[in-house]
Amino acid sequence: MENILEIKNLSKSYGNFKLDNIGFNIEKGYIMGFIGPNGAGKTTTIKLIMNLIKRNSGEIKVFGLDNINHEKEIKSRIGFVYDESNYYENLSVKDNAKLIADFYEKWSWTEFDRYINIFGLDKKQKIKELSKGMKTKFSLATALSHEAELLLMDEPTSGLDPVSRQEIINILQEYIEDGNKSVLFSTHIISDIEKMADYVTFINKGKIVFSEEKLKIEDEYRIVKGGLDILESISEEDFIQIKRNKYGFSGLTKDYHKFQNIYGSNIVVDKPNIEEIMLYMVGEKYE
Amino acid sequence: MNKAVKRNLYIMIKNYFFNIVFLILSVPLWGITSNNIGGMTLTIPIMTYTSISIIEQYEELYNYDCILNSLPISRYDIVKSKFKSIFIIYLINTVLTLVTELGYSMLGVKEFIPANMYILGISLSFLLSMIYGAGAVFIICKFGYGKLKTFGIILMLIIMSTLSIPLYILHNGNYILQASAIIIILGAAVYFILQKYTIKIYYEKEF
Repeated sequence: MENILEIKNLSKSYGNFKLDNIGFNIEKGYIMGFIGPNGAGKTTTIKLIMNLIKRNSGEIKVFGLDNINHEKEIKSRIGFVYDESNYYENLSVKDNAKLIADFYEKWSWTEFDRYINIFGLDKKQKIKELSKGMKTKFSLATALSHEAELLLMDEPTSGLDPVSRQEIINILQEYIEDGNKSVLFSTHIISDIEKMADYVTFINKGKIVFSEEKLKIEDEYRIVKGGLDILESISEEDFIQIKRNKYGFSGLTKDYHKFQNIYGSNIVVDKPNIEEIMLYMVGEKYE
Repeated sequence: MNKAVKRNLYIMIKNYFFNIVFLILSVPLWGITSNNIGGMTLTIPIMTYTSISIIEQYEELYNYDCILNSLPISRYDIVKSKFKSIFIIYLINTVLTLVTELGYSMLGVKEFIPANMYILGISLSFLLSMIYGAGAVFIICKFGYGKLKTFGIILMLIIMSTLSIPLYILHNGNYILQASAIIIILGAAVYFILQKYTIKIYYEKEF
């Protein structure tokens, strides 16, 4: 399979924060959910891909090209959706789109109008009059109107109501249908990832914890629950994280077969969802 | 790059009303207080500075550099477009000011000024526009929009207190055209030097 995005040994330091030697790939035709707590390094990674900030070391290839040496070509093939509105608030939706459209050779006003209609936006309305959700939809409409092959979205669904989030998810699923486009979607709303991502990359404290197919991740891990008597006889090293309470314990592990063989029906083995995996991995309450 | 220039001019036009009002009022007012090209020499750079600072203020206010740098345009072209815009804005303001000056003179509101003095006025306004316009872009790029106000005020005080010196020296001299040529060369030097350093700074910026 052809990679649309390849990141290798990428590092960036900012004051106390360090993006530490990270790497992951996105194949053509897939949506990758980029998850992690606030301040984990999601926005920094996306900004590095867009060359908005300078990397200390490492390599980023988009469409097989170095993202700095072929910046202009790469950017003409990327659609970028920000986590905040950076548009001219006093100008209308149409005027803001005009300012952007000129830069893209493949810009299609027909496509833009189609998305504007789908999202229920009024072209004459000023950006400052739009809600956060509407601004994100405008941003998505511009990102989708120039035949972008890769969509980079930084927290597009944060602060949106469930209906708007579902609309965006539907649009993204339609977008990758032809198998030639990909999406990197950063969020801390795990339910969105569970609905649409094919791959999940989890970043925590500037390090990649895992980057794998979503189904494989869900298949790989189990939550094992048992009483205090069992807790005394197990080795904590077999677990990624154990949570204790006065009645017993629950822990995330990959070696659940081992526990099933030893303890049989005395333990409960549950299949975790991505959110639960992440909560155990972070080892603290995840917001 | 031209797409970025077009974008800058679009923002300028959307906010040009203040400049038009300033132009209509300032030219006859300068005509009342003096009958030389001092007014014109100040009007053009003030209008250029206002336009540039409005464009840059918009960029700063909405962090538009973030959008601009995600578009298929190089950082080099972004800075070049800013400087090309300064020159175009200067030209537009010069043409409008000359038309207004001549219009008021034809209406008898103010007296006609000799042609060579107009040339001196244009050259001085070019130098000041480049210091003000290119200086503004450089200051914003290096220190942010906040420092621009201080820069603008200090520069205005210096110019207001020193502008009469070249005008007085050259008023009755025979070297107006030669002096104008030197002033234009100085303006061009300021423009290109500031452009070079702004490109250097902009390349290192993070958004």
